[in-house]
Amino acid sequence: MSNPSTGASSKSKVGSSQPSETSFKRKRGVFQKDLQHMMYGFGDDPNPLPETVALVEDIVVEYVTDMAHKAQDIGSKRGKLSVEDFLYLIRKDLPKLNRCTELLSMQEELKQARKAFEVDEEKLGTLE
Amino acid sequence: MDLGLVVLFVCLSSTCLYVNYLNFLLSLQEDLKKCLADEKARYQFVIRAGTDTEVLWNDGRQSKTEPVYKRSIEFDQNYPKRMKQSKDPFEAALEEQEESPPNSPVGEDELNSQTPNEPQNQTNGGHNLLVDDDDYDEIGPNVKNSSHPSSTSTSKLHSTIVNANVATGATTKNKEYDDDEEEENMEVELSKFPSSADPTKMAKMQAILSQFTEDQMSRYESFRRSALQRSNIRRLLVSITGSQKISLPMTIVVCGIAKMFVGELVEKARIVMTERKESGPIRPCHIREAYRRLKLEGKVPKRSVQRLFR
Repeated sequence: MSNPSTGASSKSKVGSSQPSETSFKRKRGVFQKDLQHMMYGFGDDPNPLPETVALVEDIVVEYVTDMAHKAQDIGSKRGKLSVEDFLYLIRKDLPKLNRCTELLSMQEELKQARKAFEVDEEKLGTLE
Repeated sequence: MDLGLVVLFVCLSSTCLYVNYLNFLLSLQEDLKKCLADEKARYQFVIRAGTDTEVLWNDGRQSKTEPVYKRSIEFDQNYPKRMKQSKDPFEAALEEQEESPPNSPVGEDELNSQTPNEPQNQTNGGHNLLVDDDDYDEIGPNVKNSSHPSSTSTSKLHSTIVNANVATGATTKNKEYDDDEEEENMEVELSKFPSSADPTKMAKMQAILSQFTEDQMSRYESFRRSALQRSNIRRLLVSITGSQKISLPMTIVVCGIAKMFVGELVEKARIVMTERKESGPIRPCHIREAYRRLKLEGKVPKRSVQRLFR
């Protein structure tokens, strides 16, 4: 049974990948600050215990790693990895799926708004 | 102006406030051109220095400014009460749009009477624009420059935007304040951003949010604002997949999924705690139990190959 809290600090690369620029060791406490606020928001103490935060970070990294591996497996059939693969993985989990579609649509809107705004800025700049 | 109305009801979150704001600026472009080209150079502007906020009239003819309002930011004991009283600037602007926009002499009085609320809202607005989304910080300074002058012949929302803009600029550097537990001391108005675009849901959300205690409000604020850093997630994904081409939507999606996963973990851990009749901060044993239960439910992707050496 996997025990995330005793996971080693070194992280192995994916076998078929090219050598990446990042170091092999996974630094601890990458998400620590953000996770503290997040856990408070979701119901923990205003000051979560550091060991709890470290454990949650390990679990989250493992979760993201597994998801990415699975997505890669799916994406490799198509050729390259895309957002659709992640969405396919969470298709059964409705809250997550809805949230992701919401995030993506808002991102689109932001892009459109920004583009349109910049065009108008140029027009304004040439006013006088 | 229709565009502005439509945009107001777009799906809301802190991200959407920004969209609303940008689109509103777009819709007001024509008015803006009129303001900028005003021969008498009439406009109000907001200055923020440290904890002082001032609203002043500019008088182009005499090249001098006339103070309208001044306020210092202070810790507010009556925060929950004020939340109910203060008006959502977007809602206020919406009502205003339905009437004819005031002329500048009249507008001055209107702004005068409303500015007591405004700086408070502006601080809030500033913080609202101050979002967990990295993109805002890039756009913030540029937008501030372009929209600085605001004529009171346009709706109140315009100056709201300017105020919010200035506040954003001033407080962008203070993003780190989030790290303190003094979050609850800053007056942040989150009541504007309910869960969906539906007006009935918005109304419901407003009703709920107005009833929040200070404690609940600070927790809700943490919930809305917290996010895993996109750069860290991207770095992680790059190291996992080995490919440098991780698109932005993919990073966003993974951030969102990870945040929800943390939420599931923490909530389940709380359930475990109540079952065991324990209290206080969550301990690792609760998290482990929660993780085990999530695995049983199938919400955690299972490894097809056992991880042998760690």
